[in-house]
Amino acid sequence: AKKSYPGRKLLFLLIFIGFLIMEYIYIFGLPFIYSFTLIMWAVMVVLMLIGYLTNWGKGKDFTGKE
Amino acid sequence: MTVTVSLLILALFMLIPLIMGVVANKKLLPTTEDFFVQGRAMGSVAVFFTVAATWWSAFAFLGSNGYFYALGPVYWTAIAWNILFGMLYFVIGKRVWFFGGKGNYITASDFFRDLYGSPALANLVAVVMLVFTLPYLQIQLTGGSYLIEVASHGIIPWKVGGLIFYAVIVIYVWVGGLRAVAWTDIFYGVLLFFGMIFAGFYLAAKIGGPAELFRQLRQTVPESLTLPGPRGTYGPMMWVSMFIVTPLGSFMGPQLWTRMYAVKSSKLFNLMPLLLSFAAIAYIGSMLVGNSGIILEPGYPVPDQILPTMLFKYAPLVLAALICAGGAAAAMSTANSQIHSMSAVWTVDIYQRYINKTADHKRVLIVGRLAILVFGVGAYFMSIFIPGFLVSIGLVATAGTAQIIVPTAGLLFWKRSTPAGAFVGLLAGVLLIALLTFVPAIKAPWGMHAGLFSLIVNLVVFVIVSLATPPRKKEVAEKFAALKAEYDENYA
Repeated sequence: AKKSYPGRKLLFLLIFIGFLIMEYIYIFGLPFIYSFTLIMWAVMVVLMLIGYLTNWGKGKDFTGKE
Repeated sequence: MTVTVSLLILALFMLIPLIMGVVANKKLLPTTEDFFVQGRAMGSVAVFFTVAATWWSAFAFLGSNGYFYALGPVYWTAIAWNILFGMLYFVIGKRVWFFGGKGNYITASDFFRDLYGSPALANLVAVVMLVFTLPYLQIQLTGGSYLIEVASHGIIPWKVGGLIFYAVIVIYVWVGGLRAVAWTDIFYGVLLFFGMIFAGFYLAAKIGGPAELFRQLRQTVPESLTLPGPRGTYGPMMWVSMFIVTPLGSFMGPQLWTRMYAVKSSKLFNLMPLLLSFAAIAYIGSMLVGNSGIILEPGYPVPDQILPTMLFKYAPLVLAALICAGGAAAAMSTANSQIHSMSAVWTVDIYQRYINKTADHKRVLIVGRLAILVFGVGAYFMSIFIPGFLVSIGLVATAGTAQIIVPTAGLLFWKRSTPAGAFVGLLAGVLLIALLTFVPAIKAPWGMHAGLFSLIVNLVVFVIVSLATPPRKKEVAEKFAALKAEYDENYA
């Protein structure tokens, strides 16, 4: 059976929600649209960093041969 | 004096890649695999820069400024699409890398031929890649050669600039293969990243900085700060369409398949989403350039050329030439990869498979190099005879290659996907793009871009036809299942 990694599912869910917030719209002195996306960009970069540091949610349970 | 310095900068910009090509040639092995995928041993630094520089093209450096200048903030969705591109490279790219290494694939068609067991689908993928990558290559030559004309103060007309541009690429790709392309992309990548950011802050400073720039815009042209922009044409649906179509189209281009196969270590795929997401910050530069243009140069007739125009008016000549070289770097780093990967598609998928099945490595390499020459000439003539908005042409090109994501993801994540479903879905998607592009009376619904609507139709047809047709041949399905189990065990 394929091993399941709940940490990975949570991380991917958060990234998906991040994309939804960035993409789904309704004027440093930057107007709202530029500021809003930049703030979300920073949030997403943090999620990507967490992803990299935790082996994309697999943590130490992973025993593969990367 | 300053003109001489500008020309010297351009000459250096052309000379450095040529030197890199000669050095790369010293390491080149006389095999198809080394010429086209660097023996699957490309290191981390080279992979990051060659992926980023290939993905960021004239579309990103010149086209983005033009969009911010003329059409409002819609291009800002690029911040999100860069992150999506990074995730695609991790989720899909790592799997493609694994299967590619197991089957010694060189082109995308190898992947489809082997894992779907369908030569017809593999041939369709090869045709789609060649047909839709050529216009994307054309906009690189158009953008790059225009910048050479501007940076040389008109001494080198753009038609001659385009010829020089093309000749330099052909020479170093010819002598050094993918290794030369990747090395020059490190040089181009650094130049374009810092050029983009610096140009934005430099021009905004001429108005008093970003905060003052936007204070003035709020008072004078507030409609340029919200969707759907000053022309009222680029609203929320285009924002979403571009977010989906652009990264998918670039990611499925032949040049990115090469950059999935060529990677040495699987660990790099885990890091790429972070690196590519972080690099997206460079778009602040083009956002500031386009918006500064609205204040500094209102009503400029050719939006794609707003950056070089402002640089030569407001910046010291040498600085302007240096930043223009950064723009030409964006164009060249994409063009070199496209010419190289299109040559692989022609040589491996068509020549070696159908024209001369017994060709040895030496013969195949000669054909591959001649293909580099032919595709370069084709794109050069297209750039002369087919003008157009850089981003608009780029969007049609990426919409075409984006269609390949459906059979790719379908194969990797859906057991019931069939070769017939993949073939009919892909054909429906690309025919619909052609229809929506060349018949102005027919438009995609709800303000969607043609690429996104075609992608949805492609997906629906893929699912329906897959469910209605027999599954993959037993031996093909068993081979795929065994490889997938190995991937899940060790890399998933």
